[in-house]
Amino acid sequence: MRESILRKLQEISGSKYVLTAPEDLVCYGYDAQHVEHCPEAIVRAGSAEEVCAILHLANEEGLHVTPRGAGTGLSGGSVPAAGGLVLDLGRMNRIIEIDQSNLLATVEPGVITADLASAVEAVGLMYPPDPGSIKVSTLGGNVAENAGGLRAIKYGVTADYIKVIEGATPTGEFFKAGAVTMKSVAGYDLVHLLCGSEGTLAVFTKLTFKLLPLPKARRSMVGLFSQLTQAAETVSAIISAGIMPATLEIMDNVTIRTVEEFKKIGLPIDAGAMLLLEVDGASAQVAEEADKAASIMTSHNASEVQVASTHAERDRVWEARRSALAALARVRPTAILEDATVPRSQLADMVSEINRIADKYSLTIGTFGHAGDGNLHPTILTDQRDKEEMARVEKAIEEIFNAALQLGGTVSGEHGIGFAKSRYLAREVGPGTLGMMRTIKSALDPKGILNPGKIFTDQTT
Amino acid sequence: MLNELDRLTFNCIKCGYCKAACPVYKEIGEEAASPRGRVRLIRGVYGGDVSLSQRYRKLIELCISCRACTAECPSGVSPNQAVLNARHHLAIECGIPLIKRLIFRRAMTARRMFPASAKLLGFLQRAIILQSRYSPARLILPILGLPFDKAIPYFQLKTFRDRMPEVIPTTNRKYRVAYFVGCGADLIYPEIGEAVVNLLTHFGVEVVIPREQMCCGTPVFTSGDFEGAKYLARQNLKVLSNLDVDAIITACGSCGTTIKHEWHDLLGIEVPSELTSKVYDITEFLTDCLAVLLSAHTPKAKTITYHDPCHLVRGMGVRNQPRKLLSSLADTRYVELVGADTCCGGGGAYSIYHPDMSRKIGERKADNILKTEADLVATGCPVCILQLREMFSIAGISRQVEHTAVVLNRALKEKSQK
Ligand SMILES: Cc1cc2nc3c(=O)[nH]c(=O)nc-3n(C[C@H](O)[C@H](O)[C@H](O)COP(=O)(O)OP(=O)(O)OC[C@H]3O[C@@H](n4cnc5c(N)ncnc54)[C@H](O)[C@@H]3O)c2cc1C
Ligand code: SF4
Ligand code: SF4
Repeated sequence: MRESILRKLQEISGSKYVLTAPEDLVCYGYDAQHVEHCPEAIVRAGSAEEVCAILHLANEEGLHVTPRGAGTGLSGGSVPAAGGLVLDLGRMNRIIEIDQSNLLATVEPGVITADLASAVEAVGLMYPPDPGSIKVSTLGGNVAENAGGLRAIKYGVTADYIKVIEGATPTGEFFKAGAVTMKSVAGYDLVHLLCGSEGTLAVFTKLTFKLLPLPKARRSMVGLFSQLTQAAETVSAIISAGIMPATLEIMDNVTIRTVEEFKKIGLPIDAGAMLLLEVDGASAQVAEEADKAASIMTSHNASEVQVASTHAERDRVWEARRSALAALARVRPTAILEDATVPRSQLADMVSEINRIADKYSLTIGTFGHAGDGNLHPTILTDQRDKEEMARVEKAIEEIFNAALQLGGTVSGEHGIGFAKSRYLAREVGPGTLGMMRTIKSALDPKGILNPGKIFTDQTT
Repeated sequence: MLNELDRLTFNCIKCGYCKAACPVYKEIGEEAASPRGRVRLIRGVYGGDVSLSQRYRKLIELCISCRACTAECPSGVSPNQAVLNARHHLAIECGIPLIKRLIFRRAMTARRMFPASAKLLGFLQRAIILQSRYSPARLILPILGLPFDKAIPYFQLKTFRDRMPEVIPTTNRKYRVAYFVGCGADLIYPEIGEAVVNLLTHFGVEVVIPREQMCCGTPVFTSGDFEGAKYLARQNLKVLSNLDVDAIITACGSCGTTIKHEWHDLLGIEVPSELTSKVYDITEFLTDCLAVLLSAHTPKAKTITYHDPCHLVRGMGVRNQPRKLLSSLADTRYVELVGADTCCGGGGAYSIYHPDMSRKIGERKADNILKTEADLVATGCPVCILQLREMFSIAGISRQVEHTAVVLNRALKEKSQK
């Protein structure tokens, strides 16, 4: 990067917050997806003014800018695919206000999701979106990816909670979109355009979220099945019976085994699959729904149903689910996690498809996911260094996505397109929709400086 | 060596779970100062895209070895272990700074010289009153790169081991144990050693304090000097293997962890499992082997809390035992500390090499302790005691900080007086 640009960046944010050492560059070249690209410099912005000034400068100089939260993205969104600058928002991490009377929280984008969740819980409220990465990911990253979470089935995703977004447009203009009122139709719904925009349409500097009252009671349970498809069928049965669990997750045998090896919490390593379910709400309703869910599991061939009776037991259940991905990574050196999502009723078919594909290409695939949302994370366990195997992996991924699309699904339920899935996007949305997306992008970012290489690639058209 | 670094780091999937746990990253906020970043850098050294630069060294040295990252990592990577190996690699490739080499190779490994230098230091301290916060003698501290107001522990004129007989008998002997004193209790806080010995003999345990024991080696290998640490480990092993005892007692999480795990896992020394399984922290031995519960004793404090030393809780896995003992004290209330098991920033010699970082981490801890409104905080490691006392003294706040064994021993004495 040119000296003169660096000097200007240092003027904007202070030289302490402009990093250019090679050691720093490699550490800002990755996220939780496995492809890396180094930036030429990193700026750790401290305020909205700085962010505007940086984008302004970037437009003048034709400098690529990739926003970054905690770098836990699974589609490579914060990886600076075209080099240039990484704009780290982690320093902007103040919880500005928790407004108990209007049930709102206003934060800077670098606040860690779990920090907001526990701050509002301390005053009897709930911020429902809880991605598996909750202890690490930032709210800015959550909004940019429209992150889902374990509670999405009942409570929805980040888009259902974001009310106001402040930030900088790609040309460096300050903007404020949305309203804190319950309802608002003042112009285009920019909040929901920006939510899920993967850092390609704006950089967020301040976010206001809706909160909910904390449910009075909750109960968790685990159902064991000898076959994955049985578990998948049970999911539909539970929902059709009118029960709306707060969380309904699935783990296959490969996942159960690896998590158990890591956590040693007494998971049944020979079960074919496990459903993890939690209901919450008023005490009486919780008890009734829990009983009903348990009996549905039993009548759908669950060999065992265990209801957590203490807090510790409950925590263990969810801890198990949260460690699924990383625990799978113990099995082989490279874990490639996919994000195929189908309508809930097609879950059992999707599961069988994944099994078939694993067999066909002789690969180990561990499958877990937000079963209640029809969102599966088939995780291929492989070794990047094995060229021949990687070729099979590529083909398998292709087939998994095709299967998901054939069943009426989507290529990304929650991790976004990033660069990892950009070549599948056109297949899902078709040329008209893709054209509309491209028009929006080029209208807002005429020079294409903000997070280039994401969502769209040359192969997308 | 490079292969070793690759093996230790290859399974990292960059999920970032370890970032949430790292106290150093929390203060700096730069990815390269996070465990995930360090793992990437170490892999880079193997892969050839990172060189052994000053910046690399600094980032590798900034780790305080609290092991919080390792406890979080679901992929089985131990960023903390990888860092220690990276330091060893640096030591091999770039050498160890002269001053450390003098301390580790000359002073600490010579059986008599280390205690002797500490005693000399104790004498000098008394002669030039370094202790007074405003003493002009403190002007030497900034020259050594330390803050002017850095607390310097008083080194003893006579070490704990010098003062004690080698065997301390008991009536109704149930067990016979060896006490591995460690440098902290030996040279700085002899009251810890006295408390350990009193407690054990009181409950029917004969205590042997092997004369020839040396430093466990933690400060040596954490600096990358594996050779020096291996020498110490082998000497100690010789001493500990020839004793006819039921257990080896430590009152310092680092000594315990080092003997139990690091001699084997890090330094690759054959340590018989009969020996490692005999290592107990004092609180662990009291509860698990002697079933001691000290009910009906009255210590001075009304409210007590407890800070988990990193190596005691994550290294030795001792979490419940000290809490159980402290909660059993009558007329006192035990309150749990928020973030009890996060590092206090002491980290052995870390506070000397990284005074600013050490202080930042320590201040967070001190704040949390103040929130409990406890008038006494117990802990299980001399370095944590030193650090916490310094944090309170800087803030001008009076709070008792004591070793768990000291608190228990005091309770015991007060009971016998009644
Ligand atoms: C173990 C694990 C479990 C996960 N579980 C889930 C899950 O259950 N559900 C789910 O949805 N995701 C999950 N994820 C994916 C990931 O955590 C989410 O996508 C998360 O929202 C990313 O947040 P981040 O702060 O790490 O953002 P980053 O990875 O740093 O960035 C993600 C995207 O957001 C953009 N961005 C970041 N900050 C801003 C900002 N202030 N303004 C504009 N753009 C910005 C970046 O440019 C990038 O495109 C998981 C990831 C891991 C590693
Ligand atoms: S927790 Fe483990 S796998 Fe995840 S980033 Fe840290 S070292 Fe890597
Ligand atoms: S050992 Fe502690 S300081 Fe070192 S990287 Fe791990 S968490 Fe951070």
